[in-house]
Amino acid sequence: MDGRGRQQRGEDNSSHNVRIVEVQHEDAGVYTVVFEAEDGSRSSVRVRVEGDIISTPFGSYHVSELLSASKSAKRRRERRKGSSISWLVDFESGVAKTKLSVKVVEVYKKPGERVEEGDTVLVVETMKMLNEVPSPCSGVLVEVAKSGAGVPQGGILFRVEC
Amino acid sequence: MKRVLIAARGEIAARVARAARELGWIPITIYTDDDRFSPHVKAGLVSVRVSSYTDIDSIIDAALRTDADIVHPGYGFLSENPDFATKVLESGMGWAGPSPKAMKLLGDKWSAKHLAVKAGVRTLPWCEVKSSEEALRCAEKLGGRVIIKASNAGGGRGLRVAESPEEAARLYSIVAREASVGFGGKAIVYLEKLIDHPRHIEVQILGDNYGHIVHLFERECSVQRRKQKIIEEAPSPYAEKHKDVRQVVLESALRLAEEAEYSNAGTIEFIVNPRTGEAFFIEANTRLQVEHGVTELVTGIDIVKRQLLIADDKRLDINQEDVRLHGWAIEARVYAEDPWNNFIASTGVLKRVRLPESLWVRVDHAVEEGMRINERYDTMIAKIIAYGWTRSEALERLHKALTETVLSGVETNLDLLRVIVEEEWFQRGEYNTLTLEENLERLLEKVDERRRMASLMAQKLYSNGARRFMVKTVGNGAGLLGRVAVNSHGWPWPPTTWRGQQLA
Repeated sequence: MDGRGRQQRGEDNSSHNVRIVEVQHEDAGVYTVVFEAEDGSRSSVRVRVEGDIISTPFGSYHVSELLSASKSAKRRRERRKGSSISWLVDFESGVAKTKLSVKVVEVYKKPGERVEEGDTVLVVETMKMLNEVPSPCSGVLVEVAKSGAGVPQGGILFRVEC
Repeated sequence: MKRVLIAARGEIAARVARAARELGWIPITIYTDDDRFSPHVKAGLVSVRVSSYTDIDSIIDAALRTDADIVHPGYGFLSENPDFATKVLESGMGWAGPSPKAMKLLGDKWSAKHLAVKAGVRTLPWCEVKSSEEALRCAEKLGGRVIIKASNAGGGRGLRVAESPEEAARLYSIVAREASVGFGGKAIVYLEKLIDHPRHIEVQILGDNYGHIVHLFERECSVQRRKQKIIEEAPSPYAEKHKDVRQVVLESALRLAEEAEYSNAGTIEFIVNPRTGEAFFIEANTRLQVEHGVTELVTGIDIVKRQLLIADDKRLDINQEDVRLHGWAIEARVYAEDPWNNFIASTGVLKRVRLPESLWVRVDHAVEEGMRINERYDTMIAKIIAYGWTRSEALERLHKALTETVLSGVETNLDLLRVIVEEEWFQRGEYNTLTLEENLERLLEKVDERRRMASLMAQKLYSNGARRFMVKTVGNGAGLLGRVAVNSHGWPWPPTTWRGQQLA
């Protein structure tokens, strides 16, 4: 809702959106909040406001983590498309950039070689752990870091022409 | 009066310090420069700066300077390092752990496996490999999925799973390299048969320096995410149903501990095939474990206190027939990690901390409001342990305790713990080490939906009503920024309805 009763168009509207239709003030700090899901089904939740903490039947939250939630909601959506290596490597249009400083331990593919999506291009070491970095797409490997080289945070590990 | 140096940080340092104080002894803690404001520092009567929690010489020096009689290593860091134990003993201090000999014997997965064979304890079928070709042949022999392990593996390193013999051959080189990169020194690499969807059951052992060893029954730690334990309970729901399996693991654990001439506290870990009831020894932890609390609650035995007394060369005052199970205990570990970002360590300042308080809930923690969570150290910030006469009672108490808990400022897995406890498979006790991962996506979605509802409510309630009662402060007011004043008799006072105003 944008305050004028219109449904807002935007990325915040995921398929299973709920909205508040009613807030009943029951007692000092106690409210019953009625939610309506997109399919029209209603549910009510009794909450208690205890200072800066809001207590619901499914968990207590500090207000600050909820009011700044739009940021984390965005990250949540990003998570869905992340692969298992996304905590370490950022893939952006065929370029693999490391999020932490790593050491390249082994390189399996040479520049100019054809790679399929999911093929391991190289192995990097960070925090004493070895991680295989797969190619994000099928294509031709344009450049790749050298074996034994240290790559700083944000550095390029390899580039694939997709 | 003994002086105990605690070579650990966080929750466990506070726990050991309490046990020492209860004995009338003096606890001494250590800290590093970037950790000097952590709450565990204050748990000691004195606290000594060390260069690092893993710097053996610095810690020995700290112990000698403070005239310590006993060193307790907690868990993590140097707790399973036989060299550290040797140095402590050579410096004339007591070591609250097993002898370095037993540590070497059981701590190394490879020698522990051989010891188990000698003691007649069942282990997983395996073979040692020295090359990729050998790995290929071995994987074919074992059949099915295999696990490739380095003898010094730990913390998810030096350990890979292969679906096929070809993959085993490829992963061999990674494991072999990892073993030499991460730990230094030579490691033996071997292949082991992988049990599909196993349960993880472990036995707590306690022994003194005079050869008297008892078990304190089992724990189950099958709720895991990538080998990281999330929820543990004692007794095990599986062993409670299958008494013969319990008998096997308890007896095997005792046999193994006796074979290793084990002393002090330790844990013998087994994996159990839930379909056949076969239990295989996998490894031994030659230290106090994170989840010791559940065993303490169901047996009533203070393990940490016994550890200190054994280190002081006292005899163990417990006979096996004195050890009984009373009720049920379940522990949930709160990690400061971001479930939305592949569980990467989350850092920040704890803005608000509210821990559950109940007669039946034990919270082991070392957190306080305003504390910075440092990503350099363990991300586990609190353990919430609920006790009940029956499992369902303990579960209900754990659920309520988790619901009451607030830890804001960093991303935590608290929301995830809440939904796990509500899951049907968990309530029935029918789960294995992969159940959580298989259900993770669905659980996170559930959490997401609840978070969305909570933030909608917060926006509604805090923008219309409660915001008006924000406290005005003197100074820059940073300490109270965003806080809402509330008193126990109910704030706002007088109630807004008296003034003829409507909230919301």
